Amino acid sequence: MASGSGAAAAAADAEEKESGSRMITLTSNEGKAFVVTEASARQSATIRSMVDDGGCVDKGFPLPNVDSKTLARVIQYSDEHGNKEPHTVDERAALAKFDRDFIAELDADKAFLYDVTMAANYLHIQGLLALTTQCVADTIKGKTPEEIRTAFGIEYDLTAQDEKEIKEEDTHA
Amino acid sequence: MKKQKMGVKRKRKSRGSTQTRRRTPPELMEDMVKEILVRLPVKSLLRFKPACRAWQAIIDDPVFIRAHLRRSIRLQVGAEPQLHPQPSQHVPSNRYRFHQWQLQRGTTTTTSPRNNVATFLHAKDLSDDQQFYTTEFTHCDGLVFSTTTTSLHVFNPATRDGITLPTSSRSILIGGGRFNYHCSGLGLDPRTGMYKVVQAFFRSQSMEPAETKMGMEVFTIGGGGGGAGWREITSDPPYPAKRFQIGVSVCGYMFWRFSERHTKLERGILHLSLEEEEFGITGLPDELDTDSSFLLDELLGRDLCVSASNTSCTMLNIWTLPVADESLCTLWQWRYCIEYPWSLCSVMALPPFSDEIILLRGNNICRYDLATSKLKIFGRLDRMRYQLGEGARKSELFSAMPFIESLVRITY
Repeated sequence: MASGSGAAAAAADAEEKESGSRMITLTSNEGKAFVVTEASARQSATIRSMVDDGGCVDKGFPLPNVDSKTLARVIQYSDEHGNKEPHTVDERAALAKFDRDFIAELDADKAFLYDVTMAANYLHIQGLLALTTQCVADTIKGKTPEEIRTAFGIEYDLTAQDEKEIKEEDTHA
Repeated sequence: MKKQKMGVKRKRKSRGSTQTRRRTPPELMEDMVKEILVRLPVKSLLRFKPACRAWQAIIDDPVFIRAHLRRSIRLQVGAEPQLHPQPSQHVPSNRYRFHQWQLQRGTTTTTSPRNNVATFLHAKDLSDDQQFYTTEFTHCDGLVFSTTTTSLHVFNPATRDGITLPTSSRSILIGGGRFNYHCSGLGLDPRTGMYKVVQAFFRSQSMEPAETKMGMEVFTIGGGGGGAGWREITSDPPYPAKRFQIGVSVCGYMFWRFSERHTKLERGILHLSLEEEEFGITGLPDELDTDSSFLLDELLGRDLCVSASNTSCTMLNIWTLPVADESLCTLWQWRYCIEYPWSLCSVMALPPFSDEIILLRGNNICRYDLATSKLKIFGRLDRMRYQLGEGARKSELFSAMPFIESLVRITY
């Protein structure tokens, strides 16, 4: 049992090294190129599917929806999660601490948190998306509809009739 | 994938200002908003509805409602379950009140101030002719189903919504009204995503068990009114179900115990597929004594649970049946055999949904610690502080059930 899982882990390591040896270029909407390991890039389901579909690995991937500052931060996350697989309790704890510190830093700059959330959504990085959306959810939980509109830059588009219907629905019970 | 491609086509030109945000591809924006909203409690979502049309549409979308519910259920695994004390009345009453109470880890005393406050959720007054006595309740995906002496009710206490179902001409109440008679239930039809209320009626009644025939009818919630109302189920149960019973619904199936007079004929429980509207018989655990009485419960809408005491009422046995996917299996798992000094009780939660076994007997919520094999009463429904509990009377009785908040809508 123990040797079996050890062998499996070794095989996984070997596989990881192999895929990690390829480098992939991601280009921000400002044209800045970021070279990352394939393991890191594969944190993104969007890029993963493009690579697996035999996409243009050599030419790199332009990301017209992500700016350099945001991309750098996203890569910081995917490097941490993609380049090392946590095997021990300590490694998992270290990764959890990384996540906590990562999100605490973003939480302090809401506009940036929003950009990183958008990028995580666009790139389909599930772990990062869960982390950032939970943080946004916790932030807005107690807000009023007006505060929500301000925070998200939403224009008020409800007619008086819509509002009346919502109110009625809310109080009819 | 489709959405990503659409997103790629639109260039995002600059960043950092609210102007940028308005240029965000709307499909991406919507995806992200959904990811955020799915993580919020029902209370916040109801408050956010008037934010804008897009948000309102998301919050009202049945697909979103289901995703939100699934997430809430998943979060319950390993977390402390939310119980839902429901004061019901000893004396005739026509007011339902719903409170919510969160079990807390490591709280062992019933007097702990932080553990005896039940948050008010919803109250509903019924008209004077709908008075009720103590009744049974059942929970399914955030909806609470209850019967009174005269009518059937479905509530969503979290969205403060509730309907009284129309009366049916088939269910002519025989001998003392619904109170003595009813046999009903609420569950989800997995194919249509609609909730169905089912109730029984007698085609013929006789002292001879073999000549008593029961039929059932169904009311689809949100079935579009239009005179749809109650509809007779084409097939009939092979034997009548026990009276005064609310069925337990798990994964598209509803289960009832058979009437005592018929348990000698068939050892099992009645089930109804809510999708096919076909009845069948589910076998009981082999270890269960043929003549011992048992209770049925559902665990987070996933597992069916049978609990029964031994004849000397010293031990409680608990079995579960995972009602997975399409086919209904009959492989009961004998989960626990614990020292338990009383007779039957409801099973509210079992590991892995909670750290301990949580049972309800009368007004007492009990916790069985598997490590120490100790049974502790740690909540008394009659001693809780009910927020906004105006008009509370000493004679009140209570009922409680595991509860998951949801946005599920109820309309005729």
